[in-house]
Amino acid sequence: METRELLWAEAMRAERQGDAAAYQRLLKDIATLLRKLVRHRLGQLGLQTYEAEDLVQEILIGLHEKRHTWDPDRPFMPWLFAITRYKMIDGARRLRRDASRRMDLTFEDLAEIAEAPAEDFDRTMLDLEHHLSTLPGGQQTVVRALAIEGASVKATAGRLNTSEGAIRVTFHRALAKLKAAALREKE
Amino acid sequence: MMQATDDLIHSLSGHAGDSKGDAASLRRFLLGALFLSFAAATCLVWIVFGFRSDFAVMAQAQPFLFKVSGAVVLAAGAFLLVRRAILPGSGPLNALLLIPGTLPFLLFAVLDPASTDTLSAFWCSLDIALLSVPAFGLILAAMRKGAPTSPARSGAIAGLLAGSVASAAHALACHNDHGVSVLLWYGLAIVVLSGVGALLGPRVLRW
Repeated sequence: METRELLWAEAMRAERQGDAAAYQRLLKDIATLLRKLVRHRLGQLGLQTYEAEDLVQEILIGLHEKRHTWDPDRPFMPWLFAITRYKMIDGARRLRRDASRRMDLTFEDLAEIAEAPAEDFDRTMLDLEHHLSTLPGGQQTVVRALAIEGASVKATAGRLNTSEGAIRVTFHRALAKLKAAALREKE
Repeated sequence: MMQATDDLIHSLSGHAGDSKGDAASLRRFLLGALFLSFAAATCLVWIVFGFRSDFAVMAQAQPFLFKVSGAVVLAAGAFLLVRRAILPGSGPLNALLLIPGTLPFLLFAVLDPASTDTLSAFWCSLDIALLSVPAFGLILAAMRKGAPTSPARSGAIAGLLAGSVASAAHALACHNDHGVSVLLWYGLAIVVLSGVGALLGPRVLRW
């Protein structure tokens, strides 16, 4: 902490002299720290960690725009802490707002869902079948066993004469593939 | 994603050395805004209410001295807090700094507890609120140049400072010479202005 304080304060002073390289190194170091911090925090809150990088960037922009408010006669870390804390609270508020907007329900939404034909469920099953059929045979069997029939990893491993680890790996690969397919379809 | 961050860092670092001012210039700017606030409030008192006709006598009498010293010391405390509020990591927003400014008002109220026309001085509060408008604007505008990291509290402090400045100016015109009612109505104005500031802060002082 001590050396970091000294190094970063030094880099901030260098920035004021127009030293772009020192400033870039500083921002990269800070970004690494922020990334760890923000991911951890978002995880704790049950928020999506893919928002983390956005938030890291917002904090970086904030500290860049307000860097003149750091007094070189004062320690740097408390300044960085105050800026980071402010931007994180601000970011959390934005994420919450976004979530409530996405959650917001119009009467049309309700009517649409209420009046949707009952075959929707079957269609979902059909879609599922369709996507499953694009997977290689081994992955198909594993996904069917685990996700549709609800069998345990152990039981499936036993049935297919393979290790639990192998089942898990196969399952994750299959999920990744399905996810990619779903995303492609959305676009 | 991390690539995007690296690109961002690269473009930000291209601006090394061209930040606008520094902490010292920010403090000077804020001090300038404070003096301008006092000047604006005083002018406004003179134009809207006129100074008290017995000005020379009044200026040496106890009530005026209590009012002005309280308001000015309160403003000084609030000013120090505003300075801290816009420079992150420069110290806690400690409410103890406001205590000295309340002492003259409290002392005045203790020395002059028998006030007859407490309610009629209600207008004092409204007058002070009116007088605080230019100061409020100037102070908030100056604060936006800094980096207030707790917008609601920063706004509240700005309201407190604007209210103190307006109170000091108002003393030049004020006919309310009773300790308890000064404490009550000056206090009410300052508290309400702080509340307004707390509401404005998150909107005006965001960055």
